[in-house]
Amino acid sequence: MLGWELPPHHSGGLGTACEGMTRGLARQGISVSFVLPKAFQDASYNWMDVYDASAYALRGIAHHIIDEQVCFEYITRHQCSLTSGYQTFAHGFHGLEVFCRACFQDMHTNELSHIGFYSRGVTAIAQKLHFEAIHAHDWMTFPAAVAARRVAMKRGKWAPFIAQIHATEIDRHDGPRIYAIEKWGMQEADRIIAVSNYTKSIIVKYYGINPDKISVVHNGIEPRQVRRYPRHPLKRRYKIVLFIGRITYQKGPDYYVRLAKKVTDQYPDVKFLMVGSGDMQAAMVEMAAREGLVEKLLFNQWVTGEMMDVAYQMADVFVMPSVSEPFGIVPLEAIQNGTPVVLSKNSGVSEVIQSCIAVDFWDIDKMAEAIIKLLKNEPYARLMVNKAQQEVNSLTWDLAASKLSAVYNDVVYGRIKEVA
Amino acid sequence: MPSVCFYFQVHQPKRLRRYNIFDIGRESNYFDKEHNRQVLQKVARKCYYPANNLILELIERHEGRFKVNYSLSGVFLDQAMRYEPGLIESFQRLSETGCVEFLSETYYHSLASLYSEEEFFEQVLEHMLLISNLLKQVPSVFRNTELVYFDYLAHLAKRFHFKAILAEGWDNILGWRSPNFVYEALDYPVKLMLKNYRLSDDIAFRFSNREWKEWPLTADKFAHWVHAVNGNGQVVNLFMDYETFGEHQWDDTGIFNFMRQLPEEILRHPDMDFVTVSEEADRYQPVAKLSMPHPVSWADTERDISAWAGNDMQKVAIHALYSLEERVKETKDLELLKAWRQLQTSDHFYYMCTKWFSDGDVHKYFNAFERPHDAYIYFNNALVDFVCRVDDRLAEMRMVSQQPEITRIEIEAPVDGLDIQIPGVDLPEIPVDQPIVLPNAS
Repeated sequence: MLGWELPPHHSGGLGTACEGMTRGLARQGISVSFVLPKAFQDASYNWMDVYDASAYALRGIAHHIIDEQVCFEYITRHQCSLTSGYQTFAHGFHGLEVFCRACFQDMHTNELSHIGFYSRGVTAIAQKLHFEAIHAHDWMTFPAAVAARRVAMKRGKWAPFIAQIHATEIDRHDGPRIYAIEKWGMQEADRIIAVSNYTKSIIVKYYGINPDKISVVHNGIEPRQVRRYPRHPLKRRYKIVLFIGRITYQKGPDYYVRLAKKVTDQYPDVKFLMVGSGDMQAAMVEMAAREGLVEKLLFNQWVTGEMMDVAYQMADVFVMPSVSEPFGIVPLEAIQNGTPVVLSKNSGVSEVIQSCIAVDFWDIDKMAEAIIKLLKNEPYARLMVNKAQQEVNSLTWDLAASKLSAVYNDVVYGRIKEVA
Repeated sequence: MPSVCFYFQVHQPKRLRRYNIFDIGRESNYFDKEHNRQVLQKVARKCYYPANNLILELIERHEGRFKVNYSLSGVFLDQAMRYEPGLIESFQRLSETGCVEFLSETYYHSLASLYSEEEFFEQVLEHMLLISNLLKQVPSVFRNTELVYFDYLAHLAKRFHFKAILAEGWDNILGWRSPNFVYEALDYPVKLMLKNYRLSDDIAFRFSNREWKEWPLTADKFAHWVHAVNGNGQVVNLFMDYETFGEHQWDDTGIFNFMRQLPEEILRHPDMDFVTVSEEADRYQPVAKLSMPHPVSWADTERDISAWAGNDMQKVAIHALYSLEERVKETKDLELLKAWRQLQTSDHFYYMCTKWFSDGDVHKYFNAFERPHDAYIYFNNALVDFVCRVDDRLAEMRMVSQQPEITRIEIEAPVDGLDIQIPGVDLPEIPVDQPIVLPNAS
C-alpha cells in the first residue's frame, strides 16, 4: 500500500483513513506493506510493515546519514515537503527550495521532485518485496504505483494497481498540473476505489472514466468511548453552532458566515464558532466584521486531540457547508460526541448517515431553518443524534476492509482468469 | 523670542492575551501579564531609565533653563507601579525639579472623547487624580489620546478649565499658516499648541534613517533648523513618543548623545529658551482661531482616526465595546468597570489595522500579534466573555432586588455546654441506627 502519511505525523484526514483501513485489513488477514515517504522511529505500527521511501531513495545518493532529529524539526515546523508537500502543493512551490534540505541536499529540486523522489524509493522497495496488489492513495502516489507495477511485470508477475481517490482537484481547486496527474493515474489504474458515490460521479463526469471500473468503499470510523467534558459556561446563556475544518474554498466557510448572519439576525442568543485555519481565514474574519457579526461569530485556530472533543461537545449543532466534500470524517466525530449535524449534500458522508439534515451548501435559508429547528426542538435533536450514533457505530473499518478485500479478490483473481 | 517645547508621550498598553474560545467563561483575565511585564521592563531598561536620567542631568546642568513636558498614561502608570516602582520614583524626582510638567489625558489611553462624553470626563478625572497623587502636580494642559483633536473637544475639556490643548500641526488644516504660533479653539478660549511634525519627526522617525539626505543628524544641525524659526514664530513644539529614545531609535544610533548636546546648542542662540506647555500658554497670545471639524490625530500619513477606526473589524469592535457602557455602569462593579476601560485602550484597535501600505511597517512594528485579524479574534472572544460577566452580574442584581428582604438569623459558633435553641432553625433529627438513603443511590 502506498500512502503519504500516517498518524501521528499527519496533516489531514488521509492519514487517519489509511490507519483505520490498514487496521481493518489486518483483521481480515491481509498482510499490508505500507510505504511512507518518511517514517519515524517514534511511531510504531504493529499491525503492518512500514517502509521508509526516503531511506531507499537516498541510498547511493546522499552519503550523509540523515539525521532524524533534523528531519523531525522540519516536520514540526511544517517545512518538510515529504510529509506536508501534498498540502503545501496547493500554495505553489515558492518555498520548496528551502524545504527538505535534509533530504534533498544533493538532488536537483523541481516542482514535483518530492513525488519523483518517493517513486524512486518505492521502486527500490518493490524489488525486494512480494506483493499481489498495489493499493495507492491519491495522486501523489500514482506515479510510484505505476513504477511498482512495472517492477512486478519485469519479474513476470501481475500486480494490479488499485487507485483510491480520497479527494480530487474538482474538490480542491489547486491547479491543472495535479488534475493531469490524477487523470493519468486513473487511466493507468486497473481499478479505482472512490470514497463515496459522490466522488464516483465526479470521477465519471470530470475525468471521463468508465463507471464500471470504479468501486465505492465508504470510509469507516473506529468506534471509541468519548470522554465527556463539563458543560461549557457559554452554554448557560447561548446556543452554539460549530464549524471545524480547514478554512478554504472547498469547505464553504463563506456560506457559514452568511448562515451566521441569517440566524443571529433572528436569534441573537446563538453563537457561531469557526475552528480551523486556512488561506481564507483572514477574509472570513473581515467578512464577519463587515456583516457586523462581532460577538456572534468567534474564531479559533485549529485544535487537536481532546480539545476537538471539547469543541464538539460545546456545540448544539455541527455544520459542514462544504462546497465539495469527497467523504468528510468530521461530522462522524461530531456525532460520536453527541452533536447533531447539518451537512452539505455535496458530501460523501451524507450517503452513509441518514439521521442528519442534508441541504445544498448554497441554500442558506434552508440551512438556517434546519439549524433553528435543531436548536429549538431539543428532543428532536436528541432523537436524531441517537439514531445517527447507531449509524456511526455500524460504520466500522472492518466493514470497509471486507469490501476492500472483495475488490482485491475481484481484481487480482479476475484478471488472472481473464489471462488464463 | 521663540520657545522650544519638548513633549514626550509615555504609554505602554496592556496587551491582550491569546484569548481563545475555550477560555470564555473560564478565564476573566484578558491580558497577557507576563508579556506586558517583560515589555515594560525591557523598555524601562532601554528607554525610560536612561532617558529620565539624561533629562535630569540636562535640567541640572542647565540650571533650570531646560524644561520638558510629559504625559504618562494611566495604563502605563498602573503597570509601572506594579512591575517597576523605580520608574515612578524616577518621574517623581523629575517632578521635583520644577522644570517638568505633566499633562492630562484619558487614564486608559482611550478614544472615549469620540464615543462617550461621560466616559471621557470620568477617565480624565481619574487620570488627574492619579497624577496629582503620584507626582504632586495638578495638570492644567490636556492632550488627547494620540493627539486626537476636533472642535468639540474644546467644549468637552471646558469642564476642567485647561489652559491649552495639544494638537497636530497638520498641513491640510493649517494651509499657509505655520504651526509655530499659538492658536485658539474655535468657540472657546483655550489655546491650541500645534506639533511641528517636520522637526519632531526628524528626531522621532528619520534620525537613524541612512537613506535620509540629512543623515547623520547632529545637534548643531538640528539647533540650526530650530533657530531659523526666530523672527517667524513664537514656539517650536517638538512632540514625540518617549520611546523614541532607546526603543524606536536604539542607543547605538547616537540618539542619547544627540539629546545630551541639543539643549546647549539650542540655548546658544540668545533669543531661544525652553518652556513647559503652561508657561507657553501664559506667555503667548493666540494669533488666530483654528477649526478642526473632523478628528485629526498624529498617526499615519492620513492624520485621521483611520488607524483605530478605519476598517470594519475596528469599527464593529469599538462600537460593540462602547455600546456596553450603560450596562457596565449599571452593575456598579468596579472590577468590571476597570476591565471594560482597559479594553478601551486604543492600542487594541490599532493592532487590527490593515493599512499595510505606506504606514504598514510602523503598524507591524507595534503589533502585538502576527496579523490584524488575530487582534480582532482575541478581542472579540474577550468581549463575549465580558458581556457574559456583565449580564451575570445584572441578573444577580435583579434577583436580589426582587426578593423580599429576609430577616437573617445570625448563627454564632456553638459554645460548649450551653444548649441554646436557635430560633427559626428546626432541623429534623435523624435516627442514628437507620441507614440514610439518598435519592438515586441505587
